Amino acid sequence: MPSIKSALTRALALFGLAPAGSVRSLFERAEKAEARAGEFKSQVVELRSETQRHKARAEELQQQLKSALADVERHRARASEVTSAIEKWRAKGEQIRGKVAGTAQTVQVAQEHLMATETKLDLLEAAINLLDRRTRTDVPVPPPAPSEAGQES
Amino acid sequence: MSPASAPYLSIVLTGRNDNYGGDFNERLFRALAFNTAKLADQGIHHEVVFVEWAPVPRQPYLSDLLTTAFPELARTSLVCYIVDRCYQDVLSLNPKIQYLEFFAKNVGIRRAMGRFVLSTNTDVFLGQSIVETLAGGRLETGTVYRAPRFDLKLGIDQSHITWDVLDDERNHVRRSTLTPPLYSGATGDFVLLDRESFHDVRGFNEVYRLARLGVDYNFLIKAYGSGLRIADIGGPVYHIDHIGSYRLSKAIYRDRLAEAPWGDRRWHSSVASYNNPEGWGLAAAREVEIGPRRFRIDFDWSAVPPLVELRRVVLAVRRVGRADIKA
Repeated sequence: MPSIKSALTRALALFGLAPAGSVRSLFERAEKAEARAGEFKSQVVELRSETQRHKARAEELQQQLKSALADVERHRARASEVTSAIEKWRAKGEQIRGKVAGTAQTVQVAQEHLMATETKLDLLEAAINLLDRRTRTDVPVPPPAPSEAGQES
Repeated sequence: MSPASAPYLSIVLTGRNDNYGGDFNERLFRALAFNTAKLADQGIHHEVVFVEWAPVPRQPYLSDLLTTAFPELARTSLVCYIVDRCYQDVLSLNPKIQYLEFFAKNVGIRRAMGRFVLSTNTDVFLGQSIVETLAGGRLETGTVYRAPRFDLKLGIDQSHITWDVLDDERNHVRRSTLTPPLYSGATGDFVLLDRESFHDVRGFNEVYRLARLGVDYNFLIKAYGSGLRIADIGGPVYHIDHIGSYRLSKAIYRDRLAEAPWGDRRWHSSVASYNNPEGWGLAAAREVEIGPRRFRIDFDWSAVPPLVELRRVVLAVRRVGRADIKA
């Protein structure tokens, strides 16, 4: 019967008509498509809104990144300053260390000279004492004077 | 003495018949018998140079007693120098010091003929390692050899001293250890150096005559600064404690250091070095031969150095590559 149905459908189509069943089917299909379109529309709206949210978040994160990068630059600059300062103080420390070593050396040499001088003084003192002992026998000692009677002591 | 007949080793000792420490002669005879026997056992050609410094008046010379006690030694390898006591009187700058030990040793060192000269003390026993080292002929010139001292207890039976007795730790009261760079510690008991180097540094300090303590340490300062190496010979010497020794007597003078019979130990022996005069060791003194291998060194002002020669007190030097000595 397909050929009669199709012949009738073609005849109706000549008058701009269609079989009711087809029309009903088409209406159902249209309704479904509309419903689906509505769903898609909602989804699009939702997606559009989500996109907006992501966009806003991305912009926010970009701002944060920008700010963080600026912080990094600032810290880098500060670290460079601190490193320079450390180098400067290290050089100064080396300088001071050198001076301290030099001073310590000077002090040690001075101490050694002092000890050598003390040794020489020991020798001089001993020699003088020895000569003193030797020469005492050469000095005539007068006899003690006789004590007077009644003289207060 | 020709170089060929010169001994390998000269042992320089000094002493006199004064009963120092209570039994000085006995200790000398015992140690000398032991040491010379051990050296002879090993075939080490040696001589003993005994300097009798400032002998006690009206006492027999210790040199004579030695000659009597060791006739074979006296015939072959004992040389004695008896030094007039006037030298002690004019040289000492400290009346507390009655015996200028290191001046006496210099007299012996100056006249020693051995290729190597050992300056030691009369109550020191040589350890087995030392004798073996000497026998091995491994000594090097330009090196001051040192040995740690092990003290044996006071009152120990000395009638049968052997290396077994000396080595037994149960007989020891003290064992010194030597550390670089100076290896100091009881230095005067063992200073071994080749004759030429001893002459080069001119022996022990004759400039500072206020103390005898520290003069041996001062020699190490001089040697070290002169570029000589200092080394541990690898074995100990042994010393038997006696009354009057520094170790046993130092507490008596703890509060009156200047009155000690060895002088004030606080003198700057680690800093104040010395340059002895050319006539060190009483070189210019007149020697009178009074018997075979026996000489009397008569008093002679020309041999006496000036009372004080300040320019001969010098600072110890440091050398590149050598550890510093702490004052």
